[in-house]
This record gives sequence, C-alpha cells and structure tokens, in this order.
Amino acid sequence: MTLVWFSIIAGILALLCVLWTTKFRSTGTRHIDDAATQLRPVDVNAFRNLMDHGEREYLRTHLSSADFRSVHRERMLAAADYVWCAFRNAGILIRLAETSLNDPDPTIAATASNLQENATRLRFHAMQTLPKIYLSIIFPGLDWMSVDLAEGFDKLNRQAVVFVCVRAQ
Amino acid sequence: MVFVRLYLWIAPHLLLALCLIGLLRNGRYKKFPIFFTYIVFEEVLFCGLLTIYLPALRPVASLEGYRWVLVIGTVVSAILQLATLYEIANVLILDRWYLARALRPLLRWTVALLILGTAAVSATLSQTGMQRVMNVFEVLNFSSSVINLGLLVALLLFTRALHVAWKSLPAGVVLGFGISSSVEMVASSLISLGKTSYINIDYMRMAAFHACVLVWLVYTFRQERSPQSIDSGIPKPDLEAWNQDLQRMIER
Repeated sequence: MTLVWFSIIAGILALLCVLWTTKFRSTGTRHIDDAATQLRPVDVNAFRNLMDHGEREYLRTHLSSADFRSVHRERMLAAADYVWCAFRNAGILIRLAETSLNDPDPTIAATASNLQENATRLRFHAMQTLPKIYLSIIFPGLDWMSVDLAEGFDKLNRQAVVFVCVRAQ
Repeated sequence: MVFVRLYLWIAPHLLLALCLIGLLRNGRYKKFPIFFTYIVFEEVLFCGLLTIYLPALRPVASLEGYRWVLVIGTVVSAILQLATLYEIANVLILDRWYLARALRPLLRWTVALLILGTAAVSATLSQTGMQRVMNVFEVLNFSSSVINLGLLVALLLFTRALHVAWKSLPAGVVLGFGISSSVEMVASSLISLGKTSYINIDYMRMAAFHACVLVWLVYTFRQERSPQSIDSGIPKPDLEAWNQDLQRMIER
C-alpha cells in the first residue's frame, strides 16, 4: 500500500518536474539580456592557488591537524564559490553563444559554436568538480580534484573575449 | 457518457493522423524516424482495436481477444517510446562526445534502477479480482510508464543543468510523453488501490493521451524558433561592458 501511494506521489511530482523544465526552456531565451549582465569575474589565479596540491601539502605539514582542517574547509568553500561562479558564467555564455549560432556571418557563427561547445564542457566539468570539493571538506585526506578547471576558465575567457569582439565589429 | 468515451478514444487518433501529415509536410520525420514510426504504430494499433471492438459490441465475450491485442500493442508501444527518447537524447546530447561519455552511463544506470524499482512495485499492483489479461496489461503499462518517465526526467534535468538548447519538436515530444506517462503511472496505482472505478480511471487515461496528442500537434506545426539575435535585443554598450569584464578576468 505504501509503495502504491509512493508511486502516485512520484507520478505527480514527475509531471510537475516535466512541466517546470519545459516551461523554463520556453522562457529562458527571453531573459538572455538580463542574464548577460550577471556575468561575474572569476579570479583564475586565486582558484589555482586554492586547488594547488603543493599548497595543501605545505599547509598539512606546517599546521596542526585541527588547524589544517579548519583552514582547508575555508579554502574549499572559497574554491566552491569560484566553481559556482564559473558554472553560472558558463551557463550565460552558452545562451549568449546560442543567439549567434545562426548568424549570417560564418566567422561569428563559428566563434559562437566554439564558445558554446567549450562553455558546455566547462559547465559539465564544474558540475563534476563541485561534489568533489564538498567531499574534500569532509575527507581532507582524499585528493580527487584536478586543476583542469582553471585551464578551462582561461580558455573559455579567451574565447568569450574573441566572440564579443567579433560580434561587436 | 458513451459519446465522451468514444470521443476520447477516437479524437486523439484523428489528431495523431494530423501530426503524421504535419511531420511529412515539414520533413521532420527524417530527423525523428522512430517517433514517426511510433505514431504510425499507434494508428495501426488503433485501427486494429477498432476493427475488433466494433463487432465485439454484440458478443461481449470476444473482448478477450481485444485485450490481448492491447497487451501486445502496449509492449511494442513501450519499446517504441523508449527508442524515441533515445532518439531525442541522441539528437540533443549523444552526438557531442564529451557529453555522451557522461550521459550514456547515466541513462544506463537510470534504466537499471528503474527496472529494479518497477519490478518491486509491480508485484504490489497485481489484483486478484481482475482478469489475468488485465493484470498483465496494468503491470506492463505501469512498468513502461515508470521507465519512460524516469528516463525523460533524467534527460530533462541533465540538459537543464548544462543549458543544452531544446528544439521545439523534441521538447513537445518529451512534454507529451511526460503528461501521458505520469497519468498512466498514477492511474495504474489508483487501480491497484481499488478505491476508484475502472471507468473513471480509463477516462483519466484517455484524457491524458488526448492532452499529449494536442501538445504534439501544436509542436509539430509550430515554427522552429531561432534564438534572439544580440543585435535585436542587446545594445552595443552592454557588449563593451562584457568585454571589459572578461578582459579583467584574464588580466587577474
């Protein structure tokens, strides 16, 4: 009986989820100009520093275990903020690039396509990195994180600048 | 009441025929051949069931044959629905290798978990008072709805998280399947509770399928919307401002 009620509630929730996500899709492009103003700068060097394995080892060897945990937690929370910021920026850039995918100028269309692909890749990478950062707060000994994300930020920023310049000409 | 029942049974299939014409006219059947095949199958099944049902109005006992055709049709239809969802996933994501690498295992695990969950819940759905064929139909219907719904929710959430753009028709197809599958899931569960009459639940199912077909019809004939151009909506000073923001990001 409980399972049956559970499946009734799950069915209703799934319907609401489908309606909500498809509604969001239809209104998303209308607010691209609002979203574009929400691009936030990401300090790539600071992020690299926070994710640096050597830095972490240095702190581990020079601080007491309790202090290291506390400092590490602060550092990872700061890193998570950067990743969230990059995640949002990538989302905005995906939608921004989408507006120019069918541009009659092939240079703009190609730049937009490139930007969209890399922004999607970065957003996906950020999605994978966030849980690792939060897990690292709980288990500071584990080293699951890659610094590829910082390279991704850099590449995407360069492409975004190229895209905006090309588009503004 | 008989009129409403006949309307809810026949009208969606007439609208589906319009969908077929629409897909053929705008050539979208080439991009979504499995969805096209699914609609053709639904129409063939409807014609078959109608042919069995009409003479069966007199000797009610021959409804058994009608029900077995319905069960077999449900199995084929469920397979085609899953294939349609895979087709949509392929168009949206699986042709981008870096996303396909993540989505394939996600879809595989989702299906595996859904099959396990469905098997567990389906066992509680069987009713002793019901005929065997109807029991089989309910369990099949419930299982296919849960798997469909689970897959499409996973697909929607994944693409939503990555801001993958949905074209008009795939969004419509998924919305239609979402409405139909969720109502089917709730309906099968309500039947097993035994508190609502079968006829009322049948009305609910048919109304959901009607809504689903209406959604498909609208999206089939709707022009593909191209995203807003920057020139039309965003002034040049904004572009300069983004440029400066992004330059700052790199300089830091």
